[in-house]
Amino acid sequence: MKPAKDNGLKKALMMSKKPILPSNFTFKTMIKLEEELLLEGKKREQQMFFLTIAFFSILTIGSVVWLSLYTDFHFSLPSINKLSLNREDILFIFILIILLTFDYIMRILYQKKHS
Amino acid sequence: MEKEELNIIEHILDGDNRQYAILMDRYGQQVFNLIFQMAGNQEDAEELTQDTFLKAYQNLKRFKGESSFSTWIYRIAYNTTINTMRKKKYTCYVDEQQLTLLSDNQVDALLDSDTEENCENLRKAINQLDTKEKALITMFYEEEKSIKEICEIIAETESNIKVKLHRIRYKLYLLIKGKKDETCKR
Repeated sequence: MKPAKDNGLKKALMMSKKPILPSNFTFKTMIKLEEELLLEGKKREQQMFFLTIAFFSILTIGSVVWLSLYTDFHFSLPSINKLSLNREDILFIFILIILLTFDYIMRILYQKKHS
Repeated sequence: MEKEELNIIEHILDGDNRQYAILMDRYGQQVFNLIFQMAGNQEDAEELTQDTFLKAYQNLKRFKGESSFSTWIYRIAYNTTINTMRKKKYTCYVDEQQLTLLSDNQVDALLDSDTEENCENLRKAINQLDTKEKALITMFYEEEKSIKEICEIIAETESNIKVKLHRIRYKLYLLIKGKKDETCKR
């Protein structure tokens, strides 16, 4: 099938109305693209947040289980009446704060790099 | 050109989004023309062109440079339009038996005649074709793309495309001669 024939068909196709794409098409699409990227970034950030929470929860539970099984440590939920912090608890809270701070700093760095 | 485009794509993937505007300026109108022929109205065509470029951006990592960027973006445009137009289907069915009764000479003579009246009839008949058929003749006759390139765009074999083009020519003949089946379904 050669494109040389079917001249009438070609002419008919050329004849049909050909609208021009608006001059601001690229601009509009780029704005939409930026919006979608921003939305995607937020979604990814949210995912990272939940992943971090899940990771630390698993880590905490795992640590408690490990400590209960292989050391003399016995975990029991403190009653409100006799809530007191021993050395292990303080250490645990301290590590948790450091890790959360580290996570927060990493997030800020990530956002700066990708904005 | 292709090397330059690969370079632009590399920059975009490295985070320089503004470079994408170059590709949009280069292919926007061509993609829009194809979609307009398929969709039949300007508003839908504009929206679908935008969707096409957004989809292409999201999948840019998958572009390996095995085909040209133009072929790749045409493929996205074609699939995006087909998927959207499927919901607003309008098809004119032609009796299969009538196709077999036609001779090549009859069809050739009609489609080759470029008189004003014949072209107008052809234009009307083209509007009655379905979305895929419109895309096929636009790419082949108007944009003069090779069969090989069309194969890559619509993901079909060369022989399939040739058969389809052949059938479209016959269908146009029947539509012009008023021998079409009376059921144009919406």
